[in-house]
Amino acid sequence: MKKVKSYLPIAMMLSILLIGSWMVKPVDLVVPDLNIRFNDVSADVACVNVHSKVQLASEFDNIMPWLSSVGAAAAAADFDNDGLQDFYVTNSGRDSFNRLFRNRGDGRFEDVAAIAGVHDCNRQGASMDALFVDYDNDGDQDLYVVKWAAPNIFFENNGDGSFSDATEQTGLGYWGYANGVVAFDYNRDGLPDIMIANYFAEKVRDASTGQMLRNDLWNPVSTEVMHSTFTHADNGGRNILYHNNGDGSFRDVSLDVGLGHTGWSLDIGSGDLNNDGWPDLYIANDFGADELYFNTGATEFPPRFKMAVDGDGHPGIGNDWWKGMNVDIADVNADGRLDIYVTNILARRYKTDEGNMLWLNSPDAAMPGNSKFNNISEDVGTYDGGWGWAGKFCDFNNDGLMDIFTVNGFATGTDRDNTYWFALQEMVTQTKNNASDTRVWPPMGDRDLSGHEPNRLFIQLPGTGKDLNFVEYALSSGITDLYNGRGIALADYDNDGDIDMYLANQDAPNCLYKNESDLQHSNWIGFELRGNPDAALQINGQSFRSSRDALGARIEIFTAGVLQVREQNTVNGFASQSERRLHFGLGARSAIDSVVVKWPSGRVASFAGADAFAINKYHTIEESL
Amino acid sequence: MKVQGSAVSAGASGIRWIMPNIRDPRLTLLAILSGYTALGQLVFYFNISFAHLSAAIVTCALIDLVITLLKSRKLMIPLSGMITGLSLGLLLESFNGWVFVIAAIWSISSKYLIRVNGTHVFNPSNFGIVAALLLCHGTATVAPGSQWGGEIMLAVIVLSFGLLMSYRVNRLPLVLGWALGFVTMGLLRMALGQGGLIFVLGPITGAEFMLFTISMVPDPKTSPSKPAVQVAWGLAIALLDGLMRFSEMRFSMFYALFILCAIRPWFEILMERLPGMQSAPERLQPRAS
Repeated sequence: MKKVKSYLPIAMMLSILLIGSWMVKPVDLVVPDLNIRFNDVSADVACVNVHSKVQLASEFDNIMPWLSSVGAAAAAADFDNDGLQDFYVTNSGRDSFNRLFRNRGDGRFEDVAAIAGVHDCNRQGASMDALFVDYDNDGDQDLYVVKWAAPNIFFENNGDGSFSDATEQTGLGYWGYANGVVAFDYNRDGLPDIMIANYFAEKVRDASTGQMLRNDLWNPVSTEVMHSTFTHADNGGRNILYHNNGDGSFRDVSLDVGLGHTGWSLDIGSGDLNNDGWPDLYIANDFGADELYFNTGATEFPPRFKMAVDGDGHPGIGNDWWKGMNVDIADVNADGRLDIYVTNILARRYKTDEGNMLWLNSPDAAMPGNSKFNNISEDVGTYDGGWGWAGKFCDFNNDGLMDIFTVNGFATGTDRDNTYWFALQEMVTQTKNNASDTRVWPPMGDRDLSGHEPNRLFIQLPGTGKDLNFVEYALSSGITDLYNGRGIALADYDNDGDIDMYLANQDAPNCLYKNESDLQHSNWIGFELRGNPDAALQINGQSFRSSRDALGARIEIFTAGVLQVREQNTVNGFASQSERRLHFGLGARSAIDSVVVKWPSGRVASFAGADAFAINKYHTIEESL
Repeated sequence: MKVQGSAVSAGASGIRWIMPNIRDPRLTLLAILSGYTALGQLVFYFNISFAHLSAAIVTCALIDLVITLLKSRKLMIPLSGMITGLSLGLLLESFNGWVFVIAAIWSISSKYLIRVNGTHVFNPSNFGIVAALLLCHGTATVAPGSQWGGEIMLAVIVLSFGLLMSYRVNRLPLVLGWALGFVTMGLLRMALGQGGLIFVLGPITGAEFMLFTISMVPDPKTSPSKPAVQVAWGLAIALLDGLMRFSEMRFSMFYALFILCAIRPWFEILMERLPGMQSAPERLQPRAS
């Protein structure tokens, strides 16, 4: 009996350990059969690009896989106005060519980049992202290619399938380290403005003279080019907001409107988060807190951007994880308020609390911008995105519920167990400025760092009440590639009413996932919004207009009392731009009760009745006086 | 259990209320950790989840309070439990809030259930962290230090207070032995080509190292008391830690201390047999007592 008693505490301890371990064991979710199917048809439709990555100066060889880990981007648009979605994709290697995949309409693509004059972008620096935007409201999509260590290039669409270099005329040839670019009309003058997210600092201190000189990673004056800390770095590039002057040129108004932070920005998302009619901004920063800015247009003119701070006085909207990689903005829960999806970094063996964030937006008069954001990602199942990059909202199965797709992965080594994670975390565990010199980093070589990761397709399931619930369905749906994805261009390239995906993969072949889901019982409808920049509306003495791209316009549809909202902000997403048409899944609903379009000019157009718009078709709505 | 403090009263139930002694070194440690947390959350933007931190502290404190009450009919502020909870809340990271509760339960349970010669074997927070790392199925890791601002001044302040507290609990040789051993192993790893000086020694300035060094290493209950053995103990932690770091094993400090605590009786016997260390180890009590 005494012997038994002596073992009792150990037995109790073991029991407590086992019970506790069982309690936190992840539940194996039963994945329902959702009839969602994607098939990579890139080779079949002649839409193939193998991304070439940058190769910087040899001084950075020890962490070259890190520094050359971005550059694969994709943008979708109908550049030749033939009603078919085309793709522009970037390469980053020196002298490599970018591609413009023209959709021929016969189920195949052809690379017309050279014919169009938009291929040769990598003689200096490296292409990082691309943006289609009709900057001059002439009805065709112009193209802006942003780069590292070389002037960004702006191409004007000639309207005949070719482009002309208009960089000098537009004044958009900034030399820096742009990783992201978006367009929005921040002052609602009907002229698209452009903002670029810059990563590395434009200048660094020369190691020998102490002078601040151009930070050219191909011809470095210093190896102290990295972030000052992993969490509070402010030694990155300056983001730039270009105001469209309306005469074919732009000017930098960043400081004038309150955008002066020098973080390590990877992406910018725009959207009217507080429903005041003005586009707000969320900036995803690496190595620092994300930034949320509310547009002050509702209370002052010209508008500025006011940074939101959380309850503790810190930038942002709550606990974020200092590794913001991507921003997309859409109404995920059909409450008429736009929510935010930000990708981050999660690796279950090394970092478990920095997953993707789904900021659910709810009204709160006590909060900045009258909006309160709660990160519900863990609760609803959109948290574990691995080493995330682009992430996009979309209704992939036309059931009327917004889903999320993300790509991920950092660097793929030959042996996935030979990982760089230990070295990375030893560097993270340091005080300020210790890691800013690339020379102090251990050689990365061929080591793996969150490579071999499957993408994530978070499908929203019909919930009970207001509860959201997602199930991860990528592999089950046929999205099986393990490349390190960067950009996503969503487009219905075959105009069959479901959304396909072009994935730009880093240093790897692209994927073009054709949506082959069984959607016979799910209806849909799509809209292209065309603003009328000539039709100004006077409100309180101010003149407002919509750009032809209708940037910032909002469309609301009601079906059987259910609201769905889309905003014209498809430019959002890291290294991503989706097609301009706004797509709605309708599920089994066979008619739309009403459609409301809120134009940036301030006009509101309402269309009532089931006959106004036929379902399972794309429609164009033009702003009228 | 030796209680530091003064009995205030005993009610009809026979339960005695014990007020903490102002000279109790646990109060100092609690103050350091609390100040560190407050500074971090309010000034340096640690960004630690208040809910997670609270879950760990409340769970540890509550269990510690109840067990003490049941065992000895003494009602006292659970300083040890609060320290353990704070350490867990600061160091652990997980997206699952339950991990903080479970790790807290494991920590305090180990204190009362895994005992040798009337004293617990493992530092409770170290036990909780190691158990969480091993048993939480990829949902628990330790937060890398610079997540908390990376300010060198904060590191200096906390480390200074930590050394002062180590002195108060008669564990300064142990902490210095650990630090010296860490530097030595770091230089050895550098000589063997694992990385440069900043890579191998830089972690000393991080919060992970600091918190481990001030809140786990000098635990009087779970470490040797004789100065020479303390130094050997500190060096042994560093040796194990260095070997694991050389093998690129993350969270090595915590594993090293855990392993050494598990074999502490044999370690002390070995020390006894070394020349000049023959006297029996004294019972472990802090200086302030």
